[in-house]
Amino acid sequence: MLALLALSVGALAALPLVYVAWRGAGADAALWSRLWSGQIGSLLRNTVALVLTTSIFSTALGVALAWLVERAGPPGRSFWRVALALPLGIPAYVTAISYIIVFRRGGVAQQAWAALGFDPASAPLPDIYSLGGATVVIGLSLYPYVFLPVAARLRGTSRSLDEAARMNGASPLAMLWRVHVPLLLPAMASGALLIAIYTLSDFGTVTMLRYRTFTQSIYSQFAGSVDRSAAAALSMVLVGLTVPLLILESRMARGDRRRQATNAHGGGQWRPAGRALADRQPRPLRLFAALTLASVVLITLIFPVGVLAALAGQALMAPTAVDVIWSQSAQDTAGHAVNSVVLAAATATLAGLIALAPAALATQSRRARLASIVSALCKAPYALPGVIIGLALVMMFSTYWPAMHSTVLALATGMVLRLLPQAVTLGRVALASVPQALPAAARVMGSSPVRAFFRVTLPIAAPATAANWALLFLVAIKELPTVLMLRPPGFDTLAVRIWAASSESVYTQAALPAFVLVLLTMLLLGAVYPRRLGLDAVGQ
Amino acid sequence: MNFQSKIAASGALALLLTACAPAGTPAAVAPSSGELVVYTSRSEALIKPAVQAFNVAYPGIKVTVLTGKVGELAAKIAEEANAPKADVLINTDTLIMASMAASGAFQPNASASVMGVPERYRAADGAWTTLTLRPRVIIYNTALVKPEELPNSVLQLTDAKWKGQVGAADSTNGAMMAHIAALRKLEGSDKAEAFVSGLVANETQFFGGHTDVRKAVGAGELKLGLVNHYYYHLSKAEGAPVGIVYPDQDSYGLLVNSTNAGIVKGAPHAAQAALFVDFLLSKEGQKVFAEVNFEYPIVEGVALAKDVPPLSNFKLADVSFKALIEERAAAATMAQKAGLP
Repeated sequence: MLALLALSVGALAALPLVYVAWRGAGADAALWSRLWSGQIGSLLRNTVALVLTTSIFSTALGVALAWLVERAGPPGRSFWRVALALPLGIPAYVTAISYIIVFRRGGVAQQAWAALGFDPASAPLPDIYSLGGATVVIGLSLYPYVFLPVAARLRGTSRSLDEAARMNGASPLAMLWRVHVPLLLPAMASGALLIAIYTLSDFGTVTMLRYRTFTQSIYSQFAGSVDRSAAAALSMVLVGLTVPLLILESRMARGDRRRQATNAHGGGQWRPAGRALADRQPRPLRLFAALTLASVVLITLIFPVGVLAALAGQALMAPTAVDVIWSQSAQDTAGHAVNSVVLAAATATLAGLIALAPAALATQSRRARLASIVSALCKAPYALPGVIIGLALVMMFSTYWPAMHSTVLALATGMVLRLLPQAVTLGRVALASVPQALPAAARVMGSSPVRAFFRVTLPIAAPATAANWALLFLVAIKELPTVLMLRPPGFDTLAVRIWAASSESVYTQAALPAFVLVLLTMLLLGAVYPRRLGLDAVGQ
Repeated sequence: MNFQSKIAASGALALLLTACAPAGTPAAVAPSSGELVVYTSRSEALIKPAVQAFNVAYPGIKVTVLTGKVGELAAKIAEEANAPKADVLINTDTLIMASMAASGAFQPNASASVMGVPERYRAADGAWTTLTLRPRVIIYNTALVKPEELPNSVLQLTDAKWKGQVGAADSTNGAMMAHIAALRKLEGSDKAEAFVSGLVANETQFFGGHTDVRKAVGAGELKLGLVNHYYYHLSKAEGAPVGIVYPDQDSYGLLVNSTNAGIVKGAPHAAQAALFVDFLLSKEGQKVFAEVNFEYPIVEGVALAKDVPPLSNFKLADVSFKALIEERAAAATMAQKAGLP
């Protein structure tokens, strides 16, 4: 029963991938050769370059920050832990707006540069519309995917190791390289892979920063022509890039779980690293750590939110002619916020519920083989950036089920598919936290499997489930391409409004919805994090 | 208020409103309320003033606008053919409009206002009609380009001296694709293809729309941009240092394309849709496009905005966009092959 349920969820999840593959493969050879000579080469170069630079930059930043927080002994450690996780709530396309406003030609940065006596013509500032610009903007919003698991791992590392190194005369830096980095490699690598996967699927940021990658080209093929086969063909190539990363990711996740298990049971005495160790660091290092962390928070959090607030204020106080025409009123924005919240809440709930079946299957060790097949199927939408999910559903609904096409229901279906891989992973982690013996005891006492699940397993997993829901909600409310391609007329979300205004360079009108979106995500993160409901799970 | 007096009152309101509705609207079917769904590839800033003006005349009609790209919306309307959601399509690509009409996407509209549009600019049965005209021009940054350096032909944008300095719209833009299709007709497919691959090879920056192009030129990020004429006027009105070139006056002439409207076949709110199209072709509606957006009205007797020269000042390309329908698909294939984003 459970197996059947889980299998059908997996089949559903894999459907768009199969459909796009089928359509892409069916594209005629002439189209392939046109695309190949016209764009696939340069898209591959651009996309691979961006994925590499962003993963390296984000991972380095995430590890450095985690080490500074957990081992360099800055004052206010728990504050930094939260503050450095908050950029999770700012979509990269929103960060991009702030950077464009400040660093574009004739922007604030260039004016300041000129005021300092530099000539922008002979000594130009770095160009924001470039590989470097895209790397920094995406990297700054994705580093928490490395920071959180690495910091958690550092907290979990026995202090005996630190002390042994210290007694042997290792400097703090030598300890970082010789002791911590090797220990942290698994967490680092899985974080880096997640970052690579997210970078591949990014659509809004690269488009705003005019850096051409596959997602952006798929969208323009979709949007520019009536025929969808070019978009499907390009999607195939992007899927081909993503699948190896996914396989690697799931291999590593398995290996990592094994290692954790052996660590836990492998004897020896585990002692928490604790406060004492970090507080013994030399004062200059602790000060340096605090200053570095403060500047990162300034760059990733205060800067973008501040620029958004200033832009929104400018649109309200000193509207230009364009602002008057757009006139994004507070009331409109409130309506879009309601759409965003309702859509994200409903789809996060639905995805969380649907994911219970494959997640529960995965915790049953006697069905390991079936569980891994189902889990691979459920991961399929991961290989499908929102652009492709949107494309697949538009093509499928319009061909086979026209009544569903461009309805809220179609949009919700797309969003649930988009969330499903994360929902399954998170759900498995939550259910795995329940000792197998408890539901087994319930079964022995004569309870049915379903009853045992709902009366024993689920209540114990409830706190983790709540945190999972919050994370899914976060992903959903930030989602842009799926909503953009599937929304029915009149159902705009905050993300869509930000996109509509930015794609016409009317950034003042993008600012208010962006500000509200960030406010909502920050409130949510603020509610979840202090309760320690396991935000660290994002790294899983 | 009881039920009957409500009906009487709304009836009176309807009469009052139809009385001030544009001429040519059959008063008998003119509804004073209801809904209207407009799909449009025009930018939101350009369609909103028209909708607002419409709502002044018809405050009871709730208008929902879905903006999208030309091809996206055309495909959407085709896909929704069995259960149409859109009432009116306002688009920026005459060629796609005409080919959609040929496949039966729109319903005939023989209202007096549509039939008043010169036949060259509409379907014979009124299934689609031009709303406004806009020539294709070159915009330049006056601080970065001297007048004597300026290109006088669009084809010169592929010149190596402009490498990385030109902005243009990408293949999602109807005006750009119509431009390429017209070049194929006027100059032959080889020359047109050389032009597109030349743009790509010259590191031209391609954008989803022309607003980005004009902003980039105004800010000095780029020296030249290939745009529709009103983007020059919009930048000028904002005080940006920009100039305009009406190109190809010594050769094939200025290319002029159109924005268009059609009522979707099976539109759920067909009566409101008819009112809307008639309104857009009324002097009031045309005035909005002419004044807010510096466009050339299709209806005679509507004044041009200040500083907009009449089209009769220029040599216009001798090509009817209606004659280009078969070129559109070929232009798209060619653009794909040449790597136009």
